[in-house]
Amino acid sequence: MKIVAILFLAYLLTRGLKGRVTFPRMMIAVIAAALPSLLIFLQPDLGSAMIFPPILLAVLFGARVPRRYVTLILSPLWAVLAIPNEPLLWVVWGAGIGLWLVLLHLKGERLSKLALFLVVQILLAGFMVKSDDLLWSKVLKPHHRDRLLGFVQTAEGSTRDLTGSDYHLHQSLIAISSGGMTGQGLGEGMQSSHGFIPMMRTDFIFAVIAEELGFAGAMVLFLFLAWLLMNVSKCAGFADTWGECVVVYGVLGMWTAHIFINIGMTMGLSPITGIPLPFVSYGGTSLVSNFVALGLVLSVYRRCRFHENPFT
Amino acid sequence: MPFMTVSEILPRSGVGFSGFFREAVFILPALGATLLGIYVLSGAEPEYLNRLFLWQKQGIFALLGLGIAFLVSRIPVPFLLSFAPLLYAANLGLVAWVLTSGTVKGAPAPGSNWADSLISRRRP
Repeated sequence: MKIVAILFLAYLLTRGLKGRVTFPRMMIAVIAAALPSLLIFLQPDLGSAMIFPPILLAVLFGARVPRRYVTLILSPLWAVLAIPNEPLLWVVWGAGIGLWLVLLHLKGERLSKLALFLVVQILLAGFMVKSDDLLWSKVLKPHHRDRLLGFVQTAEGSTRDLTGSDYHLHQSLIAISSGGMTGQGLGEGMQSSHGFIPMMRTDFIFAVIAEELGFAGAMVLFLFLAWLLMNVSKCAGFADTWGECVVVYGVLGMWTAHIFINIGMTMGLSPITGIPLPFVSYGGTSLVSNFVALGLVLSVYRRCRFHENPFT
Repeated sequence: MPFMTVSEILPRSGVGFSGFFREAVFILPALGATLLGIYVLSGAEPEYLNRLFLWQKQGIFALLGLGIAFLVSRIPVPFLLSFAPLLYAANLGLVAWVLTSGTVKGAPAPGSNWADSLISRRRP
């Protein structure tokens, strides 16, 4: 679904437009990204649903959508500030929105559109304040709430329930920290060989690599992934057409989100979600779909306007 | 330009060994990460109910994926983009069907994920 979504977003943001994405077209693209994300979230598969916003942002960046429109999409994040419903935070929220509207006005945005944006922001903040309990208790599943709470408590350094929702993270951290420089050896990891790490061949494979191959193995993996992402970002700049450039940025956003969320969750830097590590996690579907995405990048690269190698 | 003709595609496709070596800047890091994953899987406990080891299964999928990547790389992206709405509608329909059928994606118990339920429905 993610690869098809990237292709469709590229189609929406480039087809029939002459080098400039219009506001209505961008909103259609946002809805097109939100629809599969919502359906997948309701399955419930929070991890896969979380990948669509980074893909959308990357695609909008690749399509050179004006930044003022991108900030409009990111504004729900600012509305989160109003959730505690405290006067000081409302003042900060209002100051932020005011500054944003002034900057938009300086960029040449019409006053009627600014008024519309202001109404949308007020409605959004009001919705956030009134429905935070509904979102927390009805929309999120119990395991989502446990994992989010566990993540916040870990960040605060408070005492954690090591047998409950924090079990995954605790075992993963033990595995990573016990790997040392060269690791405990293939199949010899104390946490992985005894099955303490849940989902250790799929979502938590980075913890197994760090434990069995150590810091050196993890660095080799980082080098491969960084090398790939760097080349893909370079390729986007050499794409022959606008649509191809957007597709490459979409693939880049998808892989970057997967890598950051997956490795982050094994180290306690992001909440635990079921997201595989591209090309590394065990699973045929994930591996083949990543190679299909690689095929798209290769296709763009083969047809790029520099026939000599831009990487030399 | 919804469709490209073969004569438009072929002169720029860069088929040949030089094309392969140029593509290595993408294939090598992806393949390196895949091989590292396969290497780590080779240290995993075998699943005794399966005929293949995890690393063997992953290796087969890696070869399959590499082949598919080469095939996809021969299709121009603008040509794929012309089919994108159709693909999107089909995929969205599939995701909605999975959701409405009441099955759970990635459920651990056999018979409760969508693929298992499809297979068990066809079983006599």
